[in-house]
Amino acid sequence: MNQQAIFYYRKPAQQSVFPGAHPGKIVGSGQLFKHHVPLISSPDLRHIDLRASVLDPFENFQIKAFQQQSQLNLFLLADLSSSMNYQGEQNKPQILINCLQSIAQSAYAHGDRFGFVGCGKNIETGLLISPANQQQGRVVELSKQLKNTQYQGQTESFLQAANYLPSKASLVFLLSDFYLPMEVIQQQMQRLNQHRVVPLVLWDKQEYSTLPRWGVVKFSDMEQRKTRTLFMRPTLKKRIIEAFEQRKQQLQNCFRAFGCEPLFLEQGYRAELMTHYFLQHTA
Amino acid sequence: MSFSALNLSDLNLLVEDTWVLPALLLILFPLFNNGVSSSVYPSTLLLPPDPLSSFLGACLKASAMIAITTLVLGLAGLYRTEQSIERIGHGAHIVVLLDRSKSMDYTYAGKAPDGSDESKSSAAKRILTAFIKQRKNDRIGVAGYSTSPLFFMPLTENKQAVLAAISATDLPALAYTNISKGLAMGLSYFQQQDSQTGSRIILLVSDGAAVIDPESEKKIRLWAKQQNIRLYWIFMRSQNDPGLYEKPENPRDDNAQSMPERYLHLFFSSLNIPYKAYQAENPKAVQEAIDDINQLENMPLHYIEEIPKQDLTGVCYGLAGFFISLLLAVKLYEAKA
Repeated sequence: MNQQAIFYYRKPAQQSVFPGAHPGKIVGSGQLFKHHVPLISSPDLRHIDLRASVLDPFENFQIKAFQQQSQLNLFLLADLSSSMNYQGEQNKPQILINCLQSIAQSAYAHGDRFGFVGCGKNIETGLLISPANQQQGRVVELSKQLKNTQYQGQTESFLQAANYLPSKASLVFLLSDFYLPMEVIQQQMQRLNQHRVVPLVLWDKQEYSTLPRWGVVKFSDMEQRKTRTLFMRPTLKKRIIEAFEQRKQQLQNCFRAFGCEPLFLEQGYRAELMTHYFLQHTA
Repeated sequence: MSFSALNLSDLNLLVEDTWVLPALLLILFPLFNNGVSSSVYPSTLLLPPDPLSSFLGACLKASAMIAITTLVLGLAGLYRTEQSIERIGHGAHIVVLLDRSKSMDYTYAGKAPDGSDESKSSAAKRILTAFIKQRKNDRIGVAGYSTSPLFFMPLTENKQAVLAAISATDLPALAYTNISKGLAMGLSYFQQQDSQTGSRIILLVSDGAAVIDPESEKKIRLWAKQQNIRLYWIFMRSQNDPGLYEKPENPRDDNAQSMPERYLHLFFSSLNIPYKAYQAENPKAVQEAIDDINQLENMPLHYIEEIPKQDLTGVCYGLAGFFISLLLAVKLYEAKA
């Protein structure tokens, strides 16, 4: 296991019966004191609190109850539309695989379960890890499969992805370039409302900031059968960069409205970025 | 001042090889691909609209289409059919009738030209060239005569052709002077015309005369009257030659054989047509005579100009070359993105 790929993550306390490494709402074996319970409801003499029992006016024996650390489900919800085939300064399919492996390994290292939903033209069951589990072999196999797959379509199945997630609150990484209508992104965020969502925005510098200053360029759209011929000049380049900055602002506003902060991956994926993100943002 | 009424609606464009024309379907290709090598882009929706790029993109497609069209039309051999244009000008129909007899090759002094003095024929050529250049809207024909009449150039508005015909008369001259046949030739130029517009002029340039036989005399008299011509005679008189108006001292010499110039002048005067003779003894006098005619003859002229079939393939290839080089420039201006 690559230690470099493991990042730290956390999520607010949750209702999960399975013991794990994250704060939970379940009372059970743990280190963090939660409250006292009468001996009758929890007949565990190891946790008897003598001081509390003496002080109790009703003279009941008080037992300490602890908060159980619980297990978490991690899901990577990846956009497998044809625009994700883009290779600029970074290779987007490779970033996707790096991201998948890193999240899966981190989940394994934390004793959590990992699931994957890829939404392209439709959700292919071959490229699916759901329900979440701890099998690393499946992840290795999946990354090989993804490496050999040419992504197609226009994220038609994007909104169906939520159907493959458990009803229980999970940590969902939403990896896409988000070249989607804002309404679709908002609908998706509404569907993922019960989960904690980390939007990972996969952009490439070559899409805007390293465009040529002068010259003729023709861009053929990877998703639609469209081409744009541009006579590049410094003012146009400036306008393109401004358009991307505006888009970034829009995405941030959109995600913040749903209580999450997007993480822009413009220079490839690094596990430190994720650790940094969680240290910065998670309440 | 002349103007042309060219009707654009019937340009009468035709091609030599019609089987090449289906290749015009190729002009549809630029609509689908403007030829700029494309690079993939995740989503063009984010790119801001750019009117200048759209406009130049449309221009690029249009120039590709024009390049293909002109190239195909060039290959098909585009030409414009023969056209006739109605023109109205101020001027005259002038037939320049040149004496090509041997004596025209001598100077005014009656010698072979030795460099210090020009010959009568080259003086006539020089002055006529200047005259023709001045007369912008005339139709001018050129004829000559020697032993036989010589047909040089029909009545035409093409000044270049006339000038070329005049300059060709500088070649060594021929034998004798047969003026009656020459005059008949000059008159025959007007016989082909249906209706008279503008004045008809015969400009006879000669340095001598000859006897006209009664048979020809009758015909010339008739035609000159019928065709309503004006006659100008520039008589390039050599030294010691009898003039037009001189009466011989000896009455026995007063006959057509010994004094043909005088008798020809009398004959022309008796034709009852506008006639003027200029006795030009040196190049300057010839110039004066020509200036005189220049002033006199400026009547409205109505004629139909024939424009010959025009080969337009050169124009087509030129345009195609221009637009292809334009496309090449754009191609070289391409940036790698």
